[in-house]
Amino acid sequence: MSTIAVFGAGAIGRGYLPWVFDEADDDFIFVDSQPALVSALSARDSFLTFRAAETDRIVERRVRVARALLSDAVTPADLEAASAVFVCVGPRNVARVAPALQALTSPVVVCENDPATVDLLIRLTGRQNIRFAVPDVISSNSAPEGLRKRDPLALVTETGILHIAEGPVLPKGDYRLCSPAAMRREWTAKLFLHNTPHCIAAYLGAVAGVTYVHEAMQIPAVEVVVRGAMDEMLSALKAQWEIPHDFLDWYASKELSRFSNRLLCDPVGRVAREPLRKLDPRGRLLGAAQICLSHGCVPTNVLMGIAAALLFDSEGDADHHMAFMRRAIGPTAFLSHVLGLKEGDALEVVLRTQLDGLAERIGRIRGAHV
Amino acid sequence: MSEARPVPWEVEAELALRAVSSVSERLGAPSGTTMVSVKGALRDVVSSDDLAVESALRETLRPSPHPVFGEETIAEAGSLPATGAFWLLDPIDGTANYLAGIPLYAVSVGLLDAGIPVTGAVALPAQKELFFTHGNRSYLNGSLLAVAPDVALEDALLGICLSSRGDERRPDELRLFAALNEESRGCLRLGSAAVSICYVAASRLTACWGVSVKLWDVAGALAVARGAGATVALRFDPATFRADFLVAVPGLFPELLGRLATVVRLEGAPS
Repeated sequence: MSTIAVFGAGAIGRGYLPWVFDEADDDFIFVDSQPALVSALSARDSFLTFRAAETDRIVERRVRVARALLSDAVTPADLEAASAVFVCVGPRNVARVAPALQALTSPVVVCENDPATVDLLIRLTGRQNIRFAVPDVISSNSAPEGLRKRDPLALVTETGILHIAEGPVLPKGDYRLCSPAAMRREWTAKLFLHNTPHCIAAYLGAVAGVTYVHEAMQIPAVEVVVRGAMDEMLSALKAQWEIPHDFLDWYASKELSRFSNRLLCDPVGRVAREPLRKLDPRGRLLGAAQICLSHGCVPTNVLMGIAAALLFDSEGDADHHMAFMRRAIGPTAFLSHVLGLKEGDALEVVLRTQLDGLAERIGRIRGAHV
Repeated sequence: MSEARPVPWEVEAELALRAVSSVSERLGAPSGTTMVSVKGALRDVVSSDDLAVESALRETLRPSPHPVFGEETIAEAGSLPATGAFWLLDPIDGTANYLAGIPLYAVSVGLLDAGIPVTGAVALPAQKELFFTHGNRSYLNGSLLAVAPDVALEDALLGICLSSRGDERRPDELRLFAALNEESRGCLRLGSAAVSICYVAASRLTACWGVSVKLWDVAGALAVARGAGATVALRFDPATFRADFLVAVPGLFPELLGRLATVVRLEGAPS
């Protein structure tokens, strides 16, 4: 029997990780920054979580709650019982977790969508027993009404695969330990063949005014761009890296059906959130475009995604100020100061010259569906 | 459908950011024809770029109903308004740095209301950095700024903005500079108050203070520092346009306020 500590009781922490461990034997210490969520978890000794086993079948699991703690108040003593600690708080929040991890000896697994977060935590904690993981899964931070009526804490995930970098022993679970080369392959595929088209589907879905990603995929004008972006990335990755092409083809072939899975009820707002983070120069949008351009391909569909990301504006979003900045400083300064693109570089030139045209195409999607 | 909540001073914040951003490009390096003059007994250096930039800043702020005061035109006004909000511009803070090719200079636009810097924007053209406020928060090139809640003095990196030569407090300032330099990680004089204060907002410096600085040098940057969670105290004389200020991470502020009390005049300053 193991106790697993999870920082971040959201889509991955509460919705997916319980499926990696044993329902009967393992329990969880959840640490989160939201008082209402921590209260709700503390009041329960278990909750239900759900998985879309295929496109038409939901299975459930009961998750045993050992404790639930507020991240501001957690102490090393609170986590002593944990056999392992998983971190899934969002890349921007990772630094805040460091103080709680410093005194622990349990292995730490970082399930953030950015390998740099591992280096950050190693630097901040002075610990080496921290490793990267790629949860290759779509997990919603919500659930359909029917499931929420059964349990207000319910979330829905799909059947995923958790890849964890090799290292010292972890509690028994349903995950794959990967060599550095294998992790690089899994991470590259996930970032550019999953995250790139997935967020494009979300940003175009936001333009079209839909709530869920699967609804966006039902719009032909959106589906064709997402599919096109997938093709652009597949070609670029085959040219860029020595990753077996059959692996890349296999990976790409399953993605579009994942995005279209109605059972997940994955909100556009979740996938699209924090657009400035998604627009990191090395990341799923700009980084993806750079790879394509470096191989002589102007990735029209990825560029549509970038333009749609620049237009994303949600009042509650941490990057709500992005629209304010674009209005105030104009596109050229935005590209250089905010996105860090150097004037004259290929991507900067392409975006600067094509943004208006892309916005017009995006406007047609909006006009047809809102 | 609920209405969007209004962002405090959003219109003004957008004008401020637009103003500094629009002139930032032209200040990448001193122009070859920059002319320099030395004014008055205070040995201030003014470049022709200062004048051109101030004019451009004013143009961008034209839609604002609040009066605009800049270094070049404030003498005509005589004194600052006793009530209401007003803009303060500094076309180039750190002119000596600018002319020497040292990249620590800034363009600053700030709005004061009831003596408090409520919104502002500061561009550091050579660094391609834009500091600005949006609502109650501050950002650097889009990244949220949030200072640490506390830093011990021995771990602090401090900034100082000295008064002009000839100020009666100068000898005490220099003594405090020396003392705090030894007790902290160091005390830096960067040559630009706006840059120094923005560096506190960005957690590059822990604290910064100034004696008898020009109010337009600091207005924009102090608004940025407030939005980043720093504790700010500002006291100024509307007739002389001179100000004393202290900005620091909240936990260190009381200690520094006490240490600087003989030199930095902040009694009754709102914070």
